[in-house]
Amino acid sequence: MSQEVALFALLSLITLVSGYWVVRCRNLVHAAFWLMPTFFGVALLFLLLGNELLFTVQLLIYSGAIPITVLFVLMLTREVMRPDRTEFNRLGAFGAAAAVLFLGLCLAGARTAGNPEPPPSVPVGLTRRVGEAFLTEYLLPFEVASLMLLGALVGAVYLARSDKKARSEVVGLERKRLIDQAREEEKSADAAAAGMARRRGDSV
Amino acid sequence: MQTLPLQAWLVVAAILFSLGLYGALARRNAIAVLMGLELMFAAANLNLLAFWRYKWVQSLEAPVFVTVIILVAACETALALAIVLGVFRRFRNVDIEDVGGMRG
Repeated sequence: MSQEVALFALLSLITLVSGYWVVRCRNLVHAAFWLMPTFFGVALLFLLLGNELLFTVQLLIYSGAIPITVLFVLMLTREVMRPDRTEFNRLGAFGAAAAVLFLGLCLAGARTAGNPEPPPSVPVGLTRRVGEAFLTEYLLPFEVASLMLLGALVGAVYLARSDKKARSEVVGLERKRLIDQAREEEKSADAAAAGMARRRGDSV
Repeated sequence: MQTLPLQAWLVVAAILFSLGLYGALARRNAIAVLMGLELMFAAANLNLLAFWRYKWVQSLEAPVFVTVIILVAACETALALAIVLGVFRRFRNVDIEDVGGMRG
């Protein structure tokens, strides 16, 4: 039984320390990588609570897919990270105060939770029962969720599709800049060549 | 499990939620705000499952509910990241203080 306590302490420590770094890291790529141990710790805590199904779901979706998606968007918006400015907004102090206040409220609430004696073990075949429940008793939420996933997929593609007009403007500007730069280089090269030729003529 | 009180789980979930709240309220980059939201979702799920284990282990409501929450959170993240990309295309910036185009 004390093994459980040690495991719980270790997993909570991993989760909370990496969660702290998710919030505090200046470099957002590092913060996105810190998301992985945070959610991995949460998934293992789910396993310690005896729920293998949600352990797997949490591991696949949160510890795997979501940090990858966040990293993709970070790479696509990379140039906006500004090392010269603070990473907190001007309401940062209020945010910290609100978080501390909320933590106090939660801890006060947790004290009144009582101390229920947990059942010795979780029922066998929980995953199977949840799957059956999704296809019988909770069929409507299941179908609504599948429709919502489809809607979110289509909506995300629609929102993130490249706007052809805006992109062609950006591409056009970039092309103009490159052509100007090439012209400048050509001109300076011509000038240098002319100067060299003149000097050679002088010496001859 | 006998030696581990329910309060231990609640305290861990509360600290994780507060960290997420701080990240969501205090960061400047919109993607960092989203990461704070993710931490809050994880803390809420942890709380739900702790109560399920200690009080309602025979019922299926909590696992089903947590599964649906994870699904909704994944949809929300995908859409929010798509919106962040759209904002980036429009403003070349995802700073929640600088992007004020919809200010009333």
